[in-house]
Amino acid sequence: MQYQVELCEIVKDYKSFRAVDHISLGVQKGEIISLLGASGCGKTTTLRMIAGLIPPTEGSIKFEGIDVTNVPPYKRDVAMVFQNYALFPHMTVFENVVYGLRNRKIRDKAVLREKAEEMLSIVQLEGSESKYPRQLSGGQQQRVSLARALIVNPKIMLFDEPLSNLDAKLRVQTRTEIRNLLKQMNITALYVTHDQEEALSISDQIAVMNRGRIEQLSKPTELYNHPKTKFVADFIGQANLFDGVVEQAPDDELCLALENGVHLHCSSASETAANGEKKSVLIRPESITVSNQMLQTDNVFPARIVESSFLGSVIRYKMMLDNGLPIKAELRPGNALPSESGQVYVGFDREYAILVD
Amino acid sequence: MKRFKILGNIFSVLIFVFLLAPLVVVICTSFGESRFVTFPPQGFTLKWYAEAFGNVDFMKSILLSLRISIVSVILACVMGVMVSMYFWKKPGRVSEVFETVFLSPIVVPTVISALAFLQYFSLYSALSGFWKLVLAYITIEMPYVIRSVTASLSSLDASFEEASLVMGASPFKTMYRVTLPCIKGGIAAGAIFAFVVAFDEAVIVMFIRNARTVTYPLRLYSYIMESFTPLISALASIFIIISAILIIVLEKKIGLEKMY
Ligand SMILES: Nc1ncnc2c1ncn2[C@@H]1O[C@H](COP(=O)(O)OP(=O)(O)O)[C@@H](O)[C@H]1O
Ligand SMILES: [Mg+2]
Repeated sequence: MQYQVELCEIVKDYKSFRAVDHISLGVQKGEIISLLGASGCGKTTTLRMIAGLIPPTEGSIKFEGIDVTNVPPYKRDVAMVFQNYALFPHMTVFENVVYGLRNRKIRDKAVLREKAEEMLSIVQLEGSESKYPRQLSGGQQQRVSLARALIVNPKIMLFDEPLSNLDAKLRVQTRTEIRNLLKQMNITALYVTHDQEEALSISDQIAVMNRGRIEQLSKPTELYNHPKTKFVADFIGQANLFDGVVEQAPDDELCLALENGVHLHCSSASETAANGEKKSVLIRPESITVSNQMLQTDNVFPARIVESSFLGSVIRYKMMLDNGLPIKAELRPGNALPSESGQVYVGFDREYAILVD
Repeated sequence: MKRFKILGNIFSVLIFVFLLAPLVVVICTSFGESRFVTFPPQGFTLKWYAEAFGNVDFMKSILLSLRISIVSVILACVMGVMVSMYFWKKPGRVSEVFETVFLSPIVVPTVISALAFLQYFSLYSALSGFWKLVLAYITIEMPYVIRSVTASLSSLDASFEEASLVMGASPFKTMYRVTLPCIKGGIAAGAIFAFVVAFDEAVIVMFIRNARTVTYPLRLYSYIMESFTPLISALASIFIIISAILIIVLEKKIGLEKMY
């Protein structure tokens, strides 16, 4: 299976600073992959190398199996949606949208008109051809820049935090629209964002980046349910994380011995956990049960509720286990809720206690 | 507080009077009927303007000045834009030094530059007087173009160029379809400033003139030496009005405050 776009051991150094550190990644035709990571972890740098705007220090980039590492950006047949949209201020919406087509030697006025109209109707901006970018709202400018990129049917669409200048509601709406459009047109895309919710909802796969490296490349559900490292577990969603040493329990099941002597029954996605190995355990707050009665789960600990906050769809509890560990849980308000003053029991089954590196 | 404001207003009015009164006097005297310049003027006539426009020497000079200014402004703009773009793309110590060199004609007293041009051009007698002036004016115009274009470039978002490259335009196409249109305001402002500088330049031309390069300011000067009639006032008024129109256009289109 040949990748539409493939990065092989890409490195980018700025003087002595390594912004991108041996990244390898394959994107299949029609697939949407997100690069997710905190600000400064090298997402934009990676994207700009794929676009050809900056050369990698080491490594190679292939499009459809052909090495394009030394091909200039204007010959790569890519398209990009910028954070600030980068619409040309001196051109009308029409001129902006057909810019890429003109560069691809399409001169026929009628063809240009027809394509622009089609594209603008797809992004719901019919009739805005003769407006200038400054006459449009942020959301409309965003859609023009989307149309400008989509119209050339590029080998890969690159998005650099395209929604970060929109308000929250529009952001949620636009990201679904973008995904639908890309899928409908079968366009390959690499989507850079620092917003995990955006990445989870828009992508087929997510590459979580940390300090210039890819920590994990997985499907969104896999990433959430089975993170490989502590960093990923902490970065995606809410997490309880404890460090410890792997032990084999008497019943031959996996167990993690925490520093304060507590033993947690847990499970591992990979079968590589060896005795004595240092690992961490992840327990998602929503997989924890809290009750005033004793529980029948694999792990049960007596605890006290320190703080509770109502967040609409869930109630979040901050608790202190009697053995001294802090833990947080999320319960749905509809269920029977524990009384907050007395002793409670915190329980979770072993499949919800996941070993991570 | 209010008293200070009133004082401030009076002060600024005084400054305007001080700056503009001589110009008003010149324009007023150009309408006087008497053969001599008197203020306040006696009577009202447009005959001096008719005479000014009918004067072959004067018309030749104004055409020459226009030609020199336009040619030198175009060349100064082309070179100034190239230099500014280079500094924009390659910022650093070396660029800073070169930028200072290019901007220096602004701070060198014109007499000194004029002397330098005189000595320099005496080595190249093959050059016509016209091209000597054009070359000299390019040098003193460049700083105005560079300053104004650099200001435009510094507020230009680099992502426009990147977007253009990614969308398939070659660097050359990107320059003339994206970069240049985005900074055309700065170029126009620099060009108009440079034009005004060249058009009313009188010192350098005095040093390196010959019989064929009597420019407009020189013609005015030589007329004054002969006789001081309202014809001079009319010629000067035309000058004032052309400059004023250019400055107003500049202000309206771009805003003068952007210049410095
Ligand atoms: N031109 C540059 N020169 C030096 N350092 C740079 C340059 N561009 C980016 N960096 C550094 O590289 C790191 C990664 O940057 P970037 O890819 O923009 O991060 P992200 O997009 O993930 O926020 C940052 O620490 C940034 O300071
Ligand atoms: Mg970035």
